[in-house]
Amino acid sequence: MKLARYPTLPSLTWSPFEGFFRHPFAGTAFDSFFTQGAATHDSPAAGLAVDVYEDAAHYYARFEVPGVKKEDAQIELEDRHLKVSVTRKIQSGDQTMQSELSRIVTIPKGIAVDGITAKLEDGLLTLTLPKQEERKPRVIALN
Amino acid sequence: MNTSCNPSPDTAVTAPPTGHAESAPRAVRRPRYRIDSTAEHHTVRVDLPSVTKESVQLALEEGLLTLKAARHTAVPESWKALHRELSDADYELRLKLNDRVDDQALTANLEDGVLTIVLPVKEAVRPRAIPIQ
Repeated sequence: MKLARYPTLPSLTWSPFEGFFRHPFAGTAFDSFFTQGAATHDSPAAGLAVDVYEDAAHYYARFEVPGVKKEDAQIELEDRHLKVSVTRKIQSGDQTMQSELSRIVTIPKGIAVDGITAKLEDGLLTLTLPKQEERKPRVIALN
Repeated sequence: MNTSCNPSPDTAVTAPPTGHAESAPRAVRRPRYRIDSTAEHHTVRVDLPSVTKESVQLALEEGLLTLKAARHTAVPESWKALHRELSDADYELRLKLNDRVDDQALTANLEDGVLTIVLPVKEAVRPRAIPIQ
């Protein structure tokens, strides 16, 4: 899964650590997985940072989106590009300021796209991407 | 209206330099925050994603507002990390209030990972219109 920063803010800069966060499976069959676009949480313009996990049956992507309401988060899937966009509205006196952030994640093959779910809780957005049956590890019984 | 992310010393709320001398078992970091001020109150909005209400400690002592919040970022043991960008550090923020703040009337509310702290300005120091006789 490739993660590409999607610059929407003028101040958004590329992390000097680009390419540092190569996932443990780089160069393997999962080569297309999360190899670029890493943000760092220390950068003030880190944008939508993400953690990615997997277990036997799912991949999980978690984004920190403080101050974002459910109705202001949008998740679109086109081909294998999953785009997460959020709009944060900040009340300042009688004015409302908006900031928009997004991130495009290229999902690996073998995802059951109809089963992708998202949950937003306490400023943490969690996407659950189920693996297709043939991708799940299985035990082969010996005869 | 005064909006500031890094308040200067003459604003009502200032952050003293962080010093984490105490041996905290977990790393802490200062959360992002912003302050909006009007004649009536100062509003501090602190970004605290992955924090629940129960894990927020807010204390006020001798004009120093101390906020500590633990994250609940733990994932099930069966999850294997493939790519990490989010910090695991807990949050800690200290804000020095000046004597214009009515610290008895402070309110705080946590919603969608943002803690909003409202600090009313003391009645006595609010600007008032003087009627002309």
